[in-house]
Amino acid sequence: MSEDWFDKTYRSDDKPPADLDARILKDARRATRRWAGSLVAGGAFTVVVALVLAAVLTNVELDVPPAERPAARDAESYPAASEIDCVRSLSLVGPLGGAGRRDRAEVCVGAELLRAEFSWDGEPSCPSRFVVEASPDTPVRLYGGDLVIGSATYRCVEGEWTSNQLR
Amino acid sequence: MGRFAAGDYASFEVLYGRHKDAVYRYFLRSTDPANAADAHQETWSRIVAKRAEYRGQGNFRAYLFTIAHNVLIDQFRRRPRETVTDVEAAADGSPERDAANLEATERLNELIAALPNAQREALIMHRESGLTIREIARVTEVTEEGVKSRLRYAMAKLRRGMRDYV
Repeated sequence: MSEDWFDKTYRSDDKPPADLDARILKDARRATRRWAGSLVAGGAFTVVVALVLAAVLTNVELDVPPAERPAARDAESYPAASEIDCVRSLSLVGPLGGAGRRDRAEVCVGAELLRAEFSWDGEPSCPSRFVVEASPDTPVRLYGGDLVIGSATYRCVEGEWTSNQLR
Repeated sequence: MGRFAAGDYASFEVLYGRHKDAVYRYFLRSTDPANAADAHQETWSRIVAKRAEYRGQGNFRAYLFTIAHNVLIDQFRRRPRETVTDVEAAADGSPERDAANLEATERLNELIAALPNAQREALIMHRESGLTIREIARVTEVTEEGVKSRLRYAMAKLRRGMRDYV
């Protein structure tokens, strides 16, 4: 297509007006900033969402209703009996393993825990001890074949200690 | 363009400085100055808006003129060009009168403006953008032979219209 007459005659020095240049560059700068801003905002949003999620998960884990917490555990999950400093000690005798028996419960109440150890009148009926959370002034008594600790009642049923707080 | 797509504004300034004149002249030869300015701005706005979609396909100039081509088509659809599209009709004055009133360059520009859209676009794109025939074919979605044909017809008409000036 190269023709001399065309090359000589064709005017090729038109340029966009300066104000048009300025407008376009300004728009591009603004769009780039907006985009960068949205990236930062997006990143911040992600971080916030992650923190909220973490907080929610933590709360879910921590916010277990007290009634559902294990109020008593088997002895293995608590300090050994010898490690509980007994603030108060009781010796209770009654038919814990069944009617007519004279089973014995040695109760040691510490500052935060209560340990009960059982001596069976005959064949062992239930685990020979358990530990529950309690305070030094928690009332402990026998009521028929039940061991009542505070508001909780523990009963030996078919080889296991059952209560509204024992699991 | 890749750097601009990644948010580097300075890269846009470089791109704009490198290609703005060619794009502007492409529109200026295709429409009146006011519409050329609008189309020029619209083209660069689309470049900015679509920067995240750019994948380095072909060379940037071809990509740029593809967008410019689409902008021009959109503009023609909205505002049909109100000029004669026949070179002989554009040269309605006598050569003597034209010679008296217009410089050869102005005459050539008139003739270019009077070319059929497709021929004018092929001519300006070839002249201003530096795109190859193959690239123009891809941008304008015609065959390479089609582009060559348009260029031949355009040059023939311009040559006829300029015979009294060159």
